Amino acid sequence: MTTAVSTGPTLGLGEWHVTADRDTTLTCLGLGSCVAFIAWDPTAKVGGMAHMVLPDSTAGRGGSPGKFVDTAIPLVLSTMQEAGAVRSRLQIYLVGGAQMLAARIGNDQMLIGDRNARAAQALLSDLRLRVKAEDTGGKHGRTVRLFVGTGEVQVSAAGQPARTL
Amino acid sequence: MGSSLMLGTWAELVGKGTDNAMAGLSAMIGKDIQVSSFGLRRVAVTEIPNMVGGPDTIAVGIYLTVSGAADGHLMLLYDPRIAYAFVDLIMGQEIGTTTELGEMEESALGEMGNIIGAFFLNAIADATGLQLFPSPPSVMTDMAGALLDIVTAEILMTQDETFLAESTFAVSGQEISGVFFVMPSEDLLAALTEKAGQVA
Repeated sequence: MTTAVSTGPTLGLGEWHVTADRDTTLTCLGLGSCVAFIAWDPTAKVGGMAHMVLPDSTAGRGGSPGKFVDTAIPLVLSTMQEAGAVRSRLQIYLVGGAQMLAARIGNDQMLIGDRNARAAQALLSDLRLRVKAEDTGGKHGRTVRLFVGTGEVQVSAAGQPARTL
Repeated sequence: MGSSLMLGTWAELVGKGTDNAMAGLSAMIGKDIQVSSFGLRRVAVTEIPNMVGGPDTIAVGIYLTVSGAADGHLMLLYDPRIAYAFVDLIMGQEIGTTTELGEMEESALGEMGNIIGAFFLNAIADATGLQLFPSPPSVMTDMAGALLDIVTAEILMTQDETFLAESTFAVSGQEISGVFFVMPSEDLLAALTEKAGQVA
């Protein structure tokens, strides 16, 4: 696996975190249809990450804002700004949104990964924020790490070495 | 949802279903299977990936959806070595023969999913009168968290907690155990509880 040593929070389903601690590594493990939103300010060295599960907070019965693309991304962005980040400097990444089932069984619910990724892309476009790099779609799980001190974003798939986005 | 009555009803049904599923699996591989533990818990959906060795642990998942009177999910998750041992048992080979999953091996595990799903749902149908049908199984090897997203994303759409059934079983004379997760959708749970209430 990677030589990276995680010294920061691992974000579970619906969790998010913003930090200005340069020794911190933010991690999402085993993303399937979930999408990780990652943002980093290279000047302020502020990093943020959200482990988003569903595209739209208005479709379900609510719950914690970190669960949904449309509520998690604004929350992370505003918290980053409070921590000293400047929007125009942000380097933004999207990771995850796989379609884990090879066969389409059931309804379009099974396309949740694709819907998550597209919802995040559309929202960022509306917010006039450019995605620097993304690794989304496909049929495999992913682990992603943001090294807050350097801004490096590492993605790994099952049984494969990590690569830098 | 969430009354102790509901938990009790669901526990009883899943217990019956699990017993029958293991009987089916036993018949399939021609060996005795002992269910060594069975438990049903109310858990936060976000905690589920932590129960299988961590979200980035590599696992083999056999996944079926349930349709008919209500929708739901069945997922079997195994450490890959356990899945390989099942392949060997199903194909009548010495344990240790299978070391990776090709098309043939995935097909064998899919067949196992068919048997377990059908026997599990038949037992619930017998107890409640509900008609429930398993989909063809999908067999996947990937990070456990990624596999569980298939189930957890849908549950999180409507609720933050679910009932998780775990059963550990052993095949006689073999060092094999595994976990069988059954996660009902809310409508399946409601339908089962209603039916079970009428029967009881």
